[in-house]
Amino acid sequence: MLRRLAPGIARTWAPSTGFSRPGLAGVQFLGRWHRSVADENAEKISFHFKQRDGSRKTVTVPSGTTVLEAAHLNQVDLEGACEASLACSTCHVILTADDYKKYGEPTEKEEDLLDLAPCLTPTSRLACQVVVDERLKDQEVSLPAMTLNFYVDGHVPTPH
Amino acid sequence: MPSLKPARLLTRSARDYHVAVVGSGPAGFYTSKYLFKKAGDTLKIDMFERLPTPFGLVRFGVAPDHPEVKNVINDFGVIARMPSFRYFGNIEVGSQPSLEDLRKLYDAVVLCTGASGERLLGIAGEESFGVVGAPAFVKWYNGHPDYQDLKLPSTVHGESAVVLGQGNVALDVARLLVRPPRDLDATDMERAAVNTIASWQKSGLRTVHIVGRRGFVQAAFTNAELRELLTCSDEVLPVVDPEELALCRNEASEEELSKSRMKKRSVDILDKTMAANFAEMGSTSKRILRVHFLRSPQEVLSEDGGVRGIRLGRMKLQGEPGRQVAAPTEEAALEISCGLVVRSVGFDITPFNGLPLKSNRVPHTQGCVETSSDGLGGLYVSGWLKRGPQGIIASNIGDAQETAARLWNDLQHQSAKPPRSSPDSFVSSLPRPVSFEDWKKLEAEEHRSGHEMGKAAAKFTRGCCEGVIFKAQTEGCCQGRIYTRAAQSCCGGRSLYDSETHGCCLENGAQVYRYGSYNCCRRPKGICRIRPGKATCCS
Repeated sequence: MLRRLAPGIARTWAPSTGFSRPGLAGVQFLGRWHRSVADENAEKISFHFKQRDGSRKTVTVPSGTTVLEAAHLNQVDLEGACEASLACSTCHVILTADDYKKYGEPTEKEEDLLDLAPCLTPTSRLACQVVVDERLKDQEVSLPAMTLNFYVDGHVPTPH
Repeated sequence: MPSLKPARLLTRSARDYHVAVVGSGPAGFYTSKYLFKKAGDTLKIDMFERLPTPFGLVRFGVAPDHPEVKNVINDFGVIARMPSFRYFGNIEVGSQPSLEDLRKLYDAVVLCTGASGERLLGIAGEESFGVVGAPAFVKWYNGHPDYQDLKLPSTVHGESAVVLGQGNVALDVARLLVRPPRDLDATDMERAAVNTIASWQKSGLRTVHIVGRRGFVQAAFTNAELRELLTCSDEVLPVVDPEELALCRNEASEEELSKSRMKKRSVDILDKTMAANFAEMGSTSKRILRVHFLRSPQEVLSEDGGVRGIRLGRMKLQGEPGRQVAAPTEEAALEISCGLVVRSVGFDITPFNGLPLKSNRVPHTQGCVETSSDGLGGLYVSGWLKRGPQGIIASNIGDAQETAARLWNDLQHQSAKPPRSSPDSFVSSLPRPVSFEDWKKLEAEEHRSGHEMGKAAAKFTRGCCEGVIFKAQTEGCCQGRIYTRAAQSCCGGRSLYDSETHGCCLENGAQVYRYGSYNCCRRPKGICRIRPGKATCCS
């Protein structure tokens, strides 16, 4: 069933709980706004999420997936309230200095939203705007400790 | 796909918890989401919403030209369709059922009812016709059933409107007043509101002023919305007085500015473009959006009870960086001739029936108002009712996580789980609630009828009377019967009567009485037969 979200843009809507499941012909997709990500020929890229409790989670996704989709495909706790439409900052992540340079400056629109992300760093990005490819191979993407106004899981902020 | 388990009837296992969530906006849904994350299979949630339609301010507060912000309802839809979640729309907790009724039936009740009250300025002339609060104005153009009969002037005197306040809501209101109506009509904005704005523009509305009492460094708007003033339409010219901008940059403000990435980035928008536009203000044919700083309303000027203008005093900033306040000066005030004033200075908490308020907030600890006690489930709060009426949709995420964590922790540590019967017989006795499936059908109809009109959606602005829709403007619902407001009324929410010939006396319960034959008396309380030659009340 096609659901019209904006003029000219159609996305497939699958009735699902938003967790990954294998569909037909080995295609793995989440439904809703997540794109179908299994291009069989796309190179698989592994990288690591550094989660809020400090633990590391290694994920492997096809090149072309966004970091936010990679998080959702692997049950990493990252909200994406506006569904990748650049209307919120809930998918805020922190890249290494090298990776930030590799990916170049965010657009003005993304910067306007990063203004509102707590625990902002000079290498912060919105995960829905960062596309996984060989630049991110074996690299680390960190989740910030804080969501708007509240500390998560008992985190104590260090003065900055 | 997880299988849909049949709803449990009558009995529950000792391990099952049942929580009631009141309110279906972001606070309600995020709290439900994080409760499920904590509790998994051992938790059931019943959500109650006063209106037939869910989602609170996501539906009624977000500007119609910001549809992507509303995508979050899809995430909420996933929660709503979980087998252990039930949605009951058109049920007003506090009235029927009462809060105490719910607490007797559920292990915990979370109130997520937000803040819909208006904040007033307390200035002379504020009660004039043509002065409205943004909470009501926004709900009016967003199709909220309770606000469709908001009375507004038919033309805007002085070709100007004034928006007081400088948060993102103020910018929304101003932007929507000057955008071309054809752009607005393609959104899900209420068509009647689009037509009103169109007729205002046609009859001369040219300038919208956005007024803030402090400087730009202290203003609450954010850069995406500020930038949008520049890009929203070719027909709009946003301006700011460069001299006024300079006044904003006192020493303390410069220090605040140096520490704020957001405010540093706002300087370009204001200084480079909007200040440069100021010179064109006199000669342009575009509609003007003028942002004023360091101005505070002293008085609304009116004639025959209708607004004709507003007087704005010049302010100065005073105090330590991060704590500066606006202080009045002796300088000449500015008088703007205008016919519409929208007060966008924040919402206020409306007290919930039976809930204490202390300095205008519900007292709580991490979202807990009262832990469970003899026969009563615990009481919790989430969202604006808990934090105060500030913040965006995403502000509810951390807040909801806190309340959910605290609630779940309390349930685990209760000394004895009180034996409670299932709330299932209670919910099956509710008068024709709107289910989430019903809402999805309504949503599909809103999209369908909207598309027919060239709109993204045409919202349902009617009420729901025990399963039958009615037009809230001209009709009412009286215990399951729809009536026409012009001819009839509903006495005490139960008795329908002809309002031409009868009255409703509430001194002693709710009694309908015939004019001329009876009176409604205070002493003794209640209706009293009129006897010829006797005093009108029976005492």
